[in-house]
Amino acid sequence: MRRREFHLLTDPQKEEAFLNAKAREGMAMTRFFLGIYTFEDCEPGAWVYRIELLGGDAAGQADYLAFLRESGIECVQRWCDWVYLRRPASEGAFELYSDNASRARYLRRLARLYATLLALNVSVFVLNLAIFTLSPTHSVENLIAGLITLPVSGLLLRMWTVMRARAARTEAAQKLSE
Amino acid sequence: MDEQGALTEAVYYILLSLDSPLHGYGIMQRVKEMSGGRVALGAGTLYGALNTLCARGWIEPAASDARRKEYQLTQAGRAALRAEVRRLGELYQNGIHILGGKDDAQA
Repeated sequence: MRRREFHLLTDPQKEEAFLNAKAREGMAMTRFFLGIYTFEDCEPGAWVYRIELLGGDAAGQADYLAFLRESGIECVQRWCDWVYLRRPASEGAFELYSDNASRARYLRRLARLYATLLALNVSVFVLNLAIFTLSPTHSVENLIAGLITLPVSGLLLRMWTVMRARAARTEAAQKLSE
Repeated sequence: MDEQGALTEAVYYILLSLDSPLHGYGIMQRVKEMSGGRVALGAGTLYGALNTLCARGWIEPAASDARRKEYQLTQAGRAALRAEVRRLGELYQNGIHILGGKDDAQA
């Protein structure tokens, strides 16, 4: 049976936890699009899900995905550089990053993405405010567009801060052991 | 070339498992076997490590007609591995010397 649910999950670690909780209940995610998750019935706990943000160029990404496939990891959905991965729980524990160093690098990659999006969003805000203020027509559309970016910027700022904190904690742990 | 320094557990076990040519998933299983299940390499960690090791010249793609890409140690990699085993031996000997020979099972 197929079920669709809408969730706005902005934290990839929380989203992962959510998908795994669903899998434990017997619902396996098969599709994702703009917040709409499609679930299919499955054996409770049959799958383990992980979310990965791909880095590097297209060739490197294709190589990495092929490597994952060889390791029995299925890419369920791709959204830009985000991939939803899963593996049968019967094959054992499934972690993408098993040591602090590589996990920290992943978290830093996430932080960089949020920083880039934040910078873009702030630019849009500034641009719209400038146009609104300086142009003779003072279109209220520009003001509205500018104001809409504010909550988005707030969210991106929070995610950037959270990811940097998690990366820093992981790097600190690395100083003692892997 | 800069001094080698201590290898991480993941890198050490990857090099050790590549004593004979092996593909990614095979490396994961071999390392798990060797460590008695203690070291479970993540696919992302392994992928990054394999690329780093290739760039470093310690491993290379093995010529194989198998579907899956296999890797093997280079001369430099084998030498680095031997140096590491020596280093670990020194650590272990000092540990045994100071703490005594009893392991957890007997203590």
